Amino acid sequence: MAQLLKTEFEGRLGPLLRLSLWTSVLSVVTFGFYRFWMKTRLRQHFWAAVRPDRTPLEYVGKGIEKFTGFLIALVILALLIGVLALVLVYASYAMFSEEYEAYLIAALIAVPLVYFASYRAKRYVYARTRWRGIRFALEPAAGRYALYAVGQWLLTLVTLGLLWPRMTFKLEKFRTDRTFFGDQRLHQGGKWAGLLKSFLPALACLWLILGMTAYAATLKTDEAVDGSGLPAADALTLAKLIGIIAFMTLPLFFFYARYRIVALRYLANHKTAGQIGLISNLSFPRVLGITIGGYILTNIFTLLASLATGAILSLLLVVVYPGLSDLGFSAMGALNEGRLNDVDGAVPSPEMATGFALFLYLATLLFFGVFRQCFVLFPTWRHYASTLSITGGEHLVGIRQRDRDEAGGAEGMAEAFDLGAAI
Amino acid sequence: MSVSATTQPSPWAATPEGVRCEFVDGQTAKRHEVFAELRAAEGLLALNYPDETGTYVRLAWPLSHLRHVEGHRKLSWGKAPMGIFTNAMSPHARLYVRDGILLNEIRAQAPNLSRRPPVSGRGRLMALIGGAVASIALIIFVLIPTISDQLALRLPVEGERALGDKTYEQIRQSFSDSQFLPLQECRAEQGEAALVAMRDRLLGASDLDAEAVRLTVLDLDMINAFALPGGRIVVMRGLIDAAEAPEEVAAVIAHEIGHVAHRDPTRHALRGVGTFGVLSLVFGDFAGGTVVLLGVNQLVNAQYSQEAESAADSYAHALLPKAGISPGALAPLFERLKAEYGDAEGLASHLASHPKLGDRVDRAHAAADSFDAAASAPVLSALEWFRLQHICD
Repeated sequence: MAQLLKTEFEGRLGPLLRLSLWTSVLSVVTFGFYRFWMKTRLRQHFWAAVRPDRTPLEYVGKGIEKFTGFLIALVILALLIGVLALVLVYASYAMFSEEYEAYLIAALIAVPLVYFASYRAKRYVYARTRWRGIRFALEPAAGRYALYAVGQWLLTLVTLGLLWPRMTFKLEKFRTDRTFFGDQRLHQGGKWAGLLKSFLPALACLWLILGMTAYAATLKTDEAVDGSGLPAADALTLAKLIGIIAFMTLPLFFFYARYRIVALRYLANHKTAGQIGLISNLSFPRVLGITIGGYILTNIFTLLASLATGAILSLLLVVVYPGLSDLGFSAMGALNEGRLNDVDGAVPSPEMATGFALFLYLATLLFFGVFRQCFVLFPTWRHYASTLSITGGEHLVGIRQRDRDEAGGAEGMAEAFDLGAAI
Repeated sequence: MSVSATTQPSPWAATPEGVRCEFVDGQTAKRHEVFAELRAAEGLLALNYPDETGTYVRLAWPLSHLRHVEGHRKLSWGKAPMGIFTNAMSPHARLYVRDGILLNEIRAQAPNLSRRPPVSGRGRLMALIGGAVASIALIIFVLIPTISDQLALRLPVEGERALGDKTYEQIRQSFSDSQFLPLQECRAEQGEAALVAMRDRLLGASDLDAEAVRLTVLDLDMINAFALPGGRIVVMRGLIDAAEAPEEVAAVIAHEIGHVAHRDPTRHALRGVGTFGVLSLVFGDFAGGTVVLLGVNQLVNAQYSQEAESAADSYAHALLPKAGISPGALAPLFERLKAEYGDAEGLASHLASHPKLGDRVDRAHAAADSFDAAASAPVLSALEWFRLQHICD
């Protein structure tokens, strides 16, 4: 009889909140250099909460690996970003007196790089993930993956997005077919057309928006031709069109989010490792609810926390610069907006003011990260995990350990692009 | 090898002693029900489990070899604690303990639970850090300045102006009190006419194009003036308020024209693009707020190199006499600022906090010595000066 192994999720908000607050504070205090260890500890926490058949997943990566990987990538990317940014900004001002072109070219260069980096990052994470003592692995193929992704992107662009589901499927298949659990290679089954139906609503929205934008552009050209401005009727149509386009982005986002979840479920349900398979019961309404509720909570808590930080900083300012005492708790705000000129007595120097502003900014970022972690990522992770089952558990006995993959360089590249943000 | 595996070909044997735990051997993905018994006297943890063939495997883990799995010390199972242990000699094996009593026994008796494997490659790490710091320093302090110097000289005027306009709008935004309205430009008509008169006087004496410089006054209480790419020179209202004569303002503007003539602002802005990109990479600030904050601060309080400042001063000292203004006009303002705020103590003014302010005052006086006072002509009439002072009204 085929064994069905359910996944349990064993994690609480309290410990996670404590851990992520504490590690974020360490990160800020160390000017961001603790972030590698922070991410490692958070991953350990997230992994250990997921327990397929009651055995926790294990993350055995080390902060120091991430740090050294980052250092190596840093040198390469600093050269690239520093010099390239400079040259691109120069070139685009020299040729177009604008900087959008620079951004465009930078984005074109970034696409393969981002795929390259994300593949390497995945390879490192898989190599450091274990379940039942057995390692996962991803074959080294980052370069080919980047080329493959560029090809898929071209096809998608040429077909105005029609082949987007094909890209989703092919890229997932590229990775899955190179993934191992122990000595067992995984396999992505199914067909890309299986994703097409759930993509159609999003595609319809996209094409509508593209069509209307194209139409709006023709209206604008008319204006350029006769030079006397648009006829009143056309101006009205243009305003209406812009309104509809803006409004249409909402269903586009909604349907695309739905597509993402449905695709994830389809792809999971068609993954096999030999005789072992997966069943996912991911629910889009649940994920949507978690995300919306989570972000509302995140923003409320972030606002409260930064107000509190601002108040503490104001207090500090008032203590150090008694001239500011009239401002009370709004001293920090006044400093930020440069309204301190009519204050008697010593005021903070511009360097100090910038320092305070930087601190408040970084603290706000930190709080946002922490609360998003706890209120959005964590519940989503919980839902992903607890809706996942493994079929054919009796075949696990045939899976043997594999050798260690050094995955040198860790996630250095991805780190630099912040690709690992979603754990 | 201290782990001994003996087989006992008797599936009919009585249930072994010990607490039921779960165990994986790190060789296959099969999880075994194992009976664990802590034998404190022998200093070992005995593990017993039947493998797939029904044969009993007996393992003896010395307590001194028991380890926590790193980062998995405080796991729980529901409300109860759960322990994951491994053996230093077979680090892929895992023992999952849910029994509270056994867990406490293990924690109490195993001496090296938290010991970590020795760190290797510390030398390599140090070399790596050193190399990275050196490379980044090289990129920021040598490579980027060299390239931006070269590019600044080659940037066409229109491009330079566009770059200047962009940074100008950025500055107006970030110094504004309001989220939505940028900082007010001062454009009282008669005041502007006075400003144009001052500009024409200075530019007429220089070898620059008549359109090379645009002067703008911003309504901010800051004693400051700075040049932006493309020849835009921004004077803050605070500077006009602090000046006691139009010649003092003209002298500051002449200094900034020197920066424009040497293309310092363009060089500086290009350098900022590269430098802050690299810095945000280093500190992992992807939102880019640091870049914006530091970038604007740097543009306004631009500390050019000592040579660039001296060159701009020399330029002003040469330009002012040609326009019929004493180069010494720069000195009184600096002296008053120095008396009021000290040499380093800062009001929001890079004029006041500029390094070696004293030296610059001395040099201005020295340059004034060779100036023939008879050749001097007021840069603005009293009425024009009054109008310039009220340009923001």
